Amino acid sequence: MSEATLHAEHHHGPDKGILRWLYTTNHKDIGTMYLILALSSLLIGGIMAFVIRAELFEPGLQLVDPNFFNQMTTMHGLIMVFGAIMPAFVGLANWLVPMMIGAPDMALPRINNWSFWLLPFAFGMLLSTLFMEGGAPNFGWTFYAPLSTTYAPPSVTFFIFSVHIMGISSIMGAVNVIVTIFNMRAPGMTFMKMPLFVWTWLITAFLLIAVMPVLAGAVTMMLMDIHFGTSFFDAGGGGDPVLFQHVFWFFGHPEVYIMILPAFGIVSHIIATFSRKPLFGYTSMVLATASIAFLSFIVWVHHMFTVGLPLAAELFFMYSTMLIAVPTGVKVFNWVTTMFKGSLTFETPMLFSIAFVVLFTIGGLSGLMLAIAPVDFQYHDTYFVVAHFHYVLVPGALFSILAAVYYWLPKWCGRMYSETLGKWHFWLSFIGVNLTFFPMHFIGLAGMPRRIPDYALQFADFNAIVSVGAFIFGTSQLIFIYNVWRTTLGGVGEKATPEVWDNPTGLEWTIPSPAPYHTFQEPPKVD
Amino acid sequence: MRLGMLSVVPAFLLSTTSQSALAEWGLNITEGVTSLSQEIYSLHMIIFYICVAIAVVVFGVMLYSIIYHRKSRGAEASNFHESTTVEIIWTIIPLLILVVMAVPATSTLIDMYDNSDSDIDIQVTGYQWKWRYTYLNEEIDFFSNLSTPQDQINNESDKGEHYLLEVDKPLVIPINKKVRFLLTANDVIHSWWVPDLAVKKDTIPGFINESWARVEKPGIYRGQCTELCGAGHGYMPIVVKAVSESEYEEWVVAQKAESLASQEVKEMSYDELYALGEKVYATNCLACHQATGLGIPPVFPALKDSPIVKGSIDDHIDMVLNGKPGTAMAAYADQLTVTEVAAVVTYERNAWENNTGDTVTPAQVDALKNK
Amino acid sequence: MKPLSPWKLALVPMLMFGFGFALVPLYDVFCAVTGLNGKNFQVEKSAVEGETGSVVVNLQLTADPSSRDDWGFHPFDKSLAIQSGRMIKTHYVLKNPTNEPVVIRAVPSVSPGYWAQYLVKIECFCFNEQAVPANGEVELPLQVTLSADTPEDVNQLTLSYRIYKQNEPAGGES
Repeated sequence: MSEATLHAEHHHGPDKGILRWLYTTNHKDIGTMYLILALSSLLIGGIMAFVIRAELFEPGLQLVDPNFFNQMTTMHGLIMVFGAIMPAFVGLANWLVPMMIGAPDMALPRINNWSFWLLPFAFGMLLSTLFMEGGAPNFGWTFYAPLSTTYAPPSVTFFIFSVHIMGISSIMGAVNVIVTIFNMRAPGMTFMKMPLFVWTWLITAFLLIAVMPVLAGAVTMMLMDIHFGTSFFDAGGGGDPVLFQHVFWFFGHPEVYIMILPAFGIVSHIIATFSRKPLFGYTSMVLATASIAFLSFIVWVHHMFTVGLPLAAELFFMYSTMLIAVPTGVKVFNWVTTMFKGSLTFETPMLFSIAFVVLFTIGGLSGLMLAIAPVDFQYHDTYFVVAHFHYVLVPGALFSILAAVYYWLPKWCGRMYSETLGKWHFWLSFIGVNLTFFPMHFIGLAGMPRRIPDYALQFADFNAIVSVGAFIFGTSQLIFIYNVWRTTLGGVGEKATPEVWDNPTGLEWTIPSPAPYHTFQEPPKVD
Repeated sequence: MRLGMLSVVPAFLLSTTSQSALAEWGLNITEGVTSLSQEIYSLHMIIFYICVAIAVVVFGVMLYSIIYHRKSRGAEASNFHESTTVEIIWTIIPLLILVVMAVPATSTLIDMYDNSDSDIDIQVTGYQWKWRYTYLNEEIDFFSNLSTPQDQINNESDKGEHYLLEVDKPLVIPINKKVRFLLTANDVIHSWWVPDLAVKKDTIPGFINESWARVEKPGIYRGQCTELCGAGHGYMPIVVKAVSESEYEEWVVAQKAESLASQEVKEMSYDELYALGEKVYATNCLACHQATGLGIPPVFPALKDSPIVKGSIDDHIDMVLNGKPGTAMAAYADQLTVTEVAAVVTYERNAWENNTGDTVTPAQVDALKNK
Repeated sequence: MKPLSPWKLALVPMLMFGFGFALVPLYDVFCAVTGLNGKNFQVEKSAVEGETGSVVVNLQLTADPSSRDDWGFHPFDKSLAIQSGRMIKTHYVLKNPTNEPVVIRAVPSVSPGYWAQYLVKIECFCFNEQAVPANGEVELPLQVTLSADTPEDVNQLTLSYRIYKQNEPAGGES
């Protein structure tokens, strides 16, 4: 960021050095910090994925022992979900929500600072468990009891504490977003005039404040079972291990949508801009998002179809899960129709967004297959499930975040990124991601369970392909990091205009590029 | 049928790989050997084709726009952005498709929940990390351990055909009989899955679940634990041997004779005991205490230089026989014969430079066991 | 429009945290309604023989393998035919292999869980903790019946127990 120009233009400029970042209450600074944290987590979680894929490259145990392998799968999941995807979306919300609704900053700037600064400590604590006696958590990111209670390594207590801290941070972040959107919209910006990213984040924030406390409750019960002699999840004391799964997935399913709803908002903006057409079906997009959020509370048992349920429960949760396909379908149809009869160009953000729609749809369709309870008995806990949720989370959530960074980066730093590098990044990622996750469908259907460090010989060929794909995908992210680095700190690239793109809609394009340290101190008028 | 799976695979795979090669690679779920597994297979294929059809339509429209509505071709953007009619249509059509899917799904699910009387009841118990099968109507009760040798896992020798999918004692069931599985677990949650039987049920400590299968074809069917259950999760396969009814009867008789024979107390030399002990250790102890005897502390303590292994012989035998309640150390009194216990204790006391020089006889173990 | 107070909003997470814990009793209710975990058998403390119905169910009695190993715990009858309305008496046997008296608790589970509601327990050793003298063998009594409204298609039920050693005797019923 060209700080010199910022200082020259605004005497309310930021502090110097590290203190600026420690004390900052500026939504743009905090957004940047969230994004850097997310990128670091992505790299750490990515290295863990490398360890997993290197071990699985061929049958037999080569690199790690099974216990460490389990630590890697657990930490990979936790770091990617709580450290990469969620903070990245919070970072984007920080940067974009105030600029999109014409507000000078977030409503609770100090809370904002605190929410961010809790996170490095939470993740530091979580990562430190890797070096503890007994190792890091090894019970999967879903931490089913009693593997995560009676049979857990001692580091589980640190894991619980770090989940609590992350939860507090997420809740404060979500409260901040809701209050900002409710109270600080520019005059004239009614709810139904809000950009979709703001809408999807508003709904996401409500999901967050509703379910993060439930997760906190679940880990608190674990803590009590481990240290205070209760038996919430222990049959011996009148508890039930299955209860844990219910509480966890009551949080877990809405959590899945927390990680995808903001992505819906992002691609809606990008596809409209590069189709040079208004988004098709704005109202139905909002309604579809709201219905997905609502449905997310009544489908959680589909994660537990094999746990031993009465027929009626299987049927109810099968039907309710299938229903989610309807609003999700509406969204996909809207995006495709937005592109239809447009005037399309294919800059990097658009490429990532198109890939998002295609690959997210594949993930959605495999999700529909998984919803069919009787067949789920053959899919459950196999690589088919791994393929499914990676399709919605990597080319889904992660691609939307990458698209967002390319799309808004010129606004943030005032320079255009390198389109050539961007296209290299996209194509290598696209090929890598499909090479990684598509064959997983086959090995899953053929019967390979998830979370195993070694496998039978018939899965060997596909696993080798998957590992190669993972290395292509992982290393191609270095292009992204270099591209962002040279555009921001490197100061290379042509200067961006305030509009950046060809006639995009939204208040953020009415302010100069780079966006000044303080924006919209006088609220804009929205008609 | 298999080609159907490929509709969404990049075309190069299609052109370069023959159909039979694809079958070997294993692309699809198994049709299985029960009427239920076949029903599930057809349901899977129906749902799959519907999904492919949806994908073809959606991606087709998208591809059309990408090709024909690009700016570089001089496409002018229209300005339409709303149509309630269209929105209603594409809400209702998916709903109808879902109903079409839900009908066969519901009927298959009802078939799965058939609780009519069974012919044979087998209690399946998940342990870290092996299965235990108890035939409730017969006096048959045994553990089924992974039989793949450790040197194959460590890449020190060539991997066998059924690498990681082979056990020392398979579950034997007769064909054309309704077998009911009562599933539970000793320690953590496991999940018992045999794809060919279309049976997958979680085994939950303290609770029983049930599932059933009526196998129509004799054969050997392999499966695995599908719920993460700790370090040995990948090493507790399931092998089901379905045999004709007469073979099954013979097997039952043989099992009973064998269980009597195993109670005998034999005389063995140190070398014999050590060699047997190494095998027993590999099957029963290695997953936790590791080949090196170093364990995975603090949950699984090291046996090398362990105070129990190097201390009193009686305490060591007692630990193996009765386990240590409240820890992962299970009681092996009912899993191993007295000879096997003597062998494994002898092995542990002399392996990994423990070198106590002790030879523990089956008679010593027998005496302690019957005390 | 009145601005939204963050404090008001903060009530939501607080309530939801409470809701997480409320899921514990809610789960029990849910289980009782749907028969989710096979614990929703009826408990009737007075032995009333109702009208004998026509439904006969094969009740299989089993013991958890770990309890078999540790306590020699096993049912006296492996299976019993029970008729709706007719009371059945049987018992389990348990041996204390240690030289110290112990207190145990038996935790029952019924499968299929959704039919557990038709199994009526009149007397069960799982209602209370049980004291077992050192090296002693005890008979643990069980009295069950099948509820009169049992539908025809119910034909097989399994009742299983797992024994948990209690550290110190405590009151209460399950």
